[in-house]
Parts: sequence; structure tokens; C-alpha cells
Amino acid sequence: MLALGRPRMSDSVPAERVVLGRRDDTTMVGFQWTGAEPEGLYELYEAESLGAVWEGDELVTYNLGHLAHRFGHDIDGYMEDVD
Amino acid sequence: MAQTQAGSGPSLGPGVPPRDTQEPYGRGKVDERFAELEDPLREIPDDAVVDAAAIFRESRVDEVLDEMDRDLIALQQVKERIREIAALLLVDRLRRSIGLEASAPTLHMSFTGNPGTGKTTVAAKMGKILYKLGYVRKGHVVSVTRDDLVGQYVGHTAPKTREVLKKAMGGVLFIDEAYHIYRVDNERDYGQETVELLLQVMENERENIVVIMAGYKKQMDRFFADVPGLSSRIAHHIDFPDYSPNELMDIARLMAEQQRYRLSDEAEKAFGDYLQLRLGQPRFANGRSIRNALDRARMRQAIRLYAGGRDGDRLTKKDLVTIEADDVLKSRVFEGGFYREPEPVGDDARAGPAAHE
Repeated sequence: MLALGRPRMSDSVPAERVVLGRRDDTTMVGFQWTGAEPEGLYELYEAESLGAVWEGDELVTYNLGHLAHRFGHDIDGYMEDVD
Repeated sequence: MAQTQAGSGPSLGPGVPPRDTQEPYGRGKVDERFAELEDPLREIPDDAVVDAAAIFRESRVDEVLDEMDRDLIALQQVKERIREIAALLLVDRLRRSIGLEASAPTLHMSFTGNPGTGKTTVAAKMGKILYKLGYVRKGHVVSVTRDDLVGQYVGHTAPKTREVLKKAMGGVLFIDEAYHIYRVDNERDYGQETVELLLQVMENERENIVVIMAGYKKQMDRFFADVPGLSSRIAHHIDFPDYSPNELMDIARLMAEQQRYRLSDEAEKAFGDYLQLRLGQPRFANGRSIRNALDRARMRQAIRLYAGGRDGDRLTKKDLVTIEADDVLKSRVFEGGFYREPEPVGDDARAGPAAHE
């Protein structure tokens, strides 16, 4: 049977921590993306709504594939059916 | 994707208030604000030390500047201007490190010059420099022309322009032949809508996007004259001169080297002769024409080697990397048979494809 909805990682596979961006008050813009983020993702609130979390000054995700997948649906204007 | 609203900067995460991108300009308001603030000029001691070396090292901006020196032949004035901009931004960052805040500088630019003079290449380097110095969030370059921005029917233009702006957020929007956006002699041209959106974003989203407008100098000057308020929003006007024959020869050597080829001594002489002839012909596009000429020479070398290989010749590495004089001299430019189209008018006077070189 196909598993639908949010992908889950097996307990045996360690989640990879990916830093999407960093806050840095010495820069003019205050925050910079690292380049690991999906192409086209720019707004921080959007990254947060897609599951990215703050750890200190770093905006990170432990499931980049899922975040990119959801972002892909968002930019196509398609909402996932959660029923 | 929602765009940042004018007047409030993007969120910087929890607990960090958004930065104001629009300062109130009313004199009374400014005085009021300063009265509330501690004056950093008074509060910070004059002998507060700035670790300039560390910040310079951390920014690694010198890597990009060195790369620019390596990859771009000549263009000394352009490189000088880029170094000046980098220095200004670096000093701004040093000031910021000890609390001397200032508003975001205007970094929009115009690059003027003939085709193939390095405008796009420098724009890409600029994106990297601005990222390394903390002036943009991503540093990517989105390169567009009128067709990417202006629609063909009513209601088509604004969404099209917004889509491009959205893609360029956090980086550099490079608009090639920018003067084509707006046709002043056509009141119904949809490009006016694009210009209005660009002006708005260039003013209100200075922390989110850097716009570089590029094209021929004469047309760009006319464009700035036709669109009030555009030129004043552009802080850096940089002119890219044509390359001299010697510089073009250096470019040919560099391009060949980057592709793991070598011009034999005779081929170099032939290429020099080729340049003399080609420079006097229409549609010469500086570095781009050199790249085309080398591509054609590579093709002729391949045909020569293929014919030799078929006849049983043993090929060595030297054969594979060397472009010989014949590979250059077989160009139609030497036969006086250079493909000539009717003399172009206006913008295309010097530009255009050079497929028959």
C-alpha cells in the first residue's frame, strides 16, 4: 500500500540537518540564505510555514526533500489534499 | 508567494523586528526620532577598534575581485569602479560592526557599452560581491529582456513583471537592452506598467533587490531622459569600452586556454590578421565575436583531425590541443566572403549573431 501525505524517515536513517540560512546582524540585510534552500524560496515566513525551524541564528530543516516538495506545490498554486 | 509590503522590511525570524525600509522624511519626525535615540557618535568612543582584517578575510570578497581580474581582460576602469563599490560596502560593514548604522545604500546600476564588452559577466560577479558583503540575501542573477517583463495584452504585464521580480528577490535583476522596455512614442505600450513597477521596487525594496540596467550608451541615455526618476534611482553608471585589438588577442588566448586549447605561433599571427579584417566588418561584438571565431576554428581543427585520423594518422595530445594557422585562415573573413546582410539600423548597428565568422 502506498504511504501518502508527509514522508517519514525510518528510525535507522539519521535525519540530515541542513542550514538554509543564517541571521547575521553585521550584514545590511540581517539574514542570508546559504544556497541550500529550494530555488525561488525567499521569504522567511514561508520557509517557517514549510517546516524550517530556528536553531540559534540558523534556519534549519531536517527534511529538505519534503520542504522542497511542499514548496514546489505552493509555487504551483496547488494545495495538498489533507483528507 | 506574497511579496514584502512596502514600508516594512522582511521578517528576520522570531524576536527580531522587521527593518524599516522606508524612513520618514518629515523634518519634525526625524528630529523626534533622533531625540529618542542615543547618539552613536557620542556613545561609541573614538578609539573603538575595528577588526578590519578579520572582516575583510571573512567576507572573502577579494576572491571574487581576484577572479574578476583573472577572467576579464582589460576593462581597468570598470574593475576600478567595482573595487570602489566593494570598498564602500566593506567600510559600511566595518562601521556597522561597531554600531554605526546607516540606511541601505542605493546599489542599482547601469552598465552601458557595446555587445560583448563584459556587462553580463560583471553583473554575475557583482551578485557574488554583494552577497559576500552582506547586501543581498542570495546573490543570484536573473537576466531578462523586455519579452520577459512586458505582456502582449491588457492585464498581462503586471503579473509577468511581478513574477520576474519575485524570482530576482535577494539577488540581482539584470535587464539587458533595458531601453526596449518602454517605447515613448507609443502611448499604448504596456512597457510603461513595467517601468512603474520597477521604479516602485527600486525605491521600496532596496534591501531585497539590486537592479542593473544594461545596453548601448546612447539608447540608455535617451531612456533615462524619457523616464523621469529612473536615472536618480541608479547610483552607479558604469561604461564598458570596446576592446583594443591587442586586448581582443589576449581574450582569444584566455578563452582558448580555458577550453584547453592552444594557438600555435602561426595561428596567433593568423588570428591577428583575422581580427584586423573582422574589426572593419559590421556586427562585430567584441568578446562574443572572439568566442564565435574560436568555436569556428575548433570546428575546422576537428574536421582536419578527423580527416587525418581516417587516413591513418596517429594523433597526439599536442594535435588535439593545438589550433593551427589553417584552422583560422579558412574563415570566410579572409575570402572576402563574410556574410553581409543589409546594413542594420538602430540598435543592431554593431551587434547581432556572427554565425558566419
